[in-house]
Amino acid sequence: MTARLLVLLALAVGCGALVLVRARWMQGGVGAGSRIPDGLVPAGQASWLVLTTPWCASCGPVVERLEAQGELPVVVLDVAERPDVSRALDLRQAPTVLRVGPDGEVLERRTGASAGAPAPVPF
Amino acid sequence: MATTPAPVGGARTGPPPIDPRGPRFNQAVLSVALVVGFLLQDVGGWIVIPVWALVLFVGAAFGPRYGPFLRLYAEVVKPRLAPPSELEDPRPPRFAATIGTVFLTAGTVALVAGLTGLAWGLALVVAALAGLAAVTGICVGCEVYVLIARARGLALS
Repeated sequence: MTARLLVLLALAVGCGALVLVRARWMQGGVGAGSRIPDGLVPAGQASWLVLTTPWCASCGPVVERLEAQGELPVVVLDVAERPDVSRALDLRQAPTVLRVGPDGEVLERRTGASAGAPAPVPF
Repeated sequence: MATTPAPVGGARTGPPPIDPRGPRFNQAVLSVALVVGFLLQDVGGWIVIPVWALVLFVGAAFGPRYGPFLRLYAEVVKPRLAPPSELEDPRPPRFAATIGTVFLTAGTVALVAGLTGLAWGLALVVAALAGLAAVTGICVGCEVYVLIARARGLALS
């Protein structure tokens, strides 16, 4: 029984390590300071670029929330149709929402189902 | 203002999205059952391997309506919870269940062949990944599905 418990403990530690490695990996890819390829968003103006996939059930609501905020134009790109963009930006998850400046520089990155929420107001 | 060229996510090409808590509930029960079976294998706990191979197969092959614990979640647990904050495409978790079915079926074959260590090795991989998904929401099988679909460039109708 002790041996079995040790096996289970080893599995739990392994899973914990996997979580940490994955979390670290998810932080990578395109982020603030990166530049997006030309032609993906309107030139000369800031905009939201939402990177989606066909199997991303959260992507639709994220796009709807961004559109409802009405702050910036929202451009939606299905990376399943543009794998070159996915590779160029080293996309790690969908949805990935990028706030892109007028010169194509990424100013902010948000990911996941909460990516469409307004930014919290500081105290 | 929006320049949305096409509907996004599963609305364009996929099946209706599902409450992700259903598969997570199933994975939690699966993980606990396999762990308990592992600890009690000397007194018949090995039975969880073929039983859960069948349970996963039925749910993956015929849909959540036929998976007993998916059905339990839908009819007993879910009505007592608030609506989910997000939905998910059902294809990745179904693929993950299929992988689990393959592993547990192989484990069952190993049991029949007398390879108890191999059988429990396969079962514990399933238990670990199912437990990981249930606790953290990180579904490794789902992510494998996404990688394969991305590599194949699928639109996935």
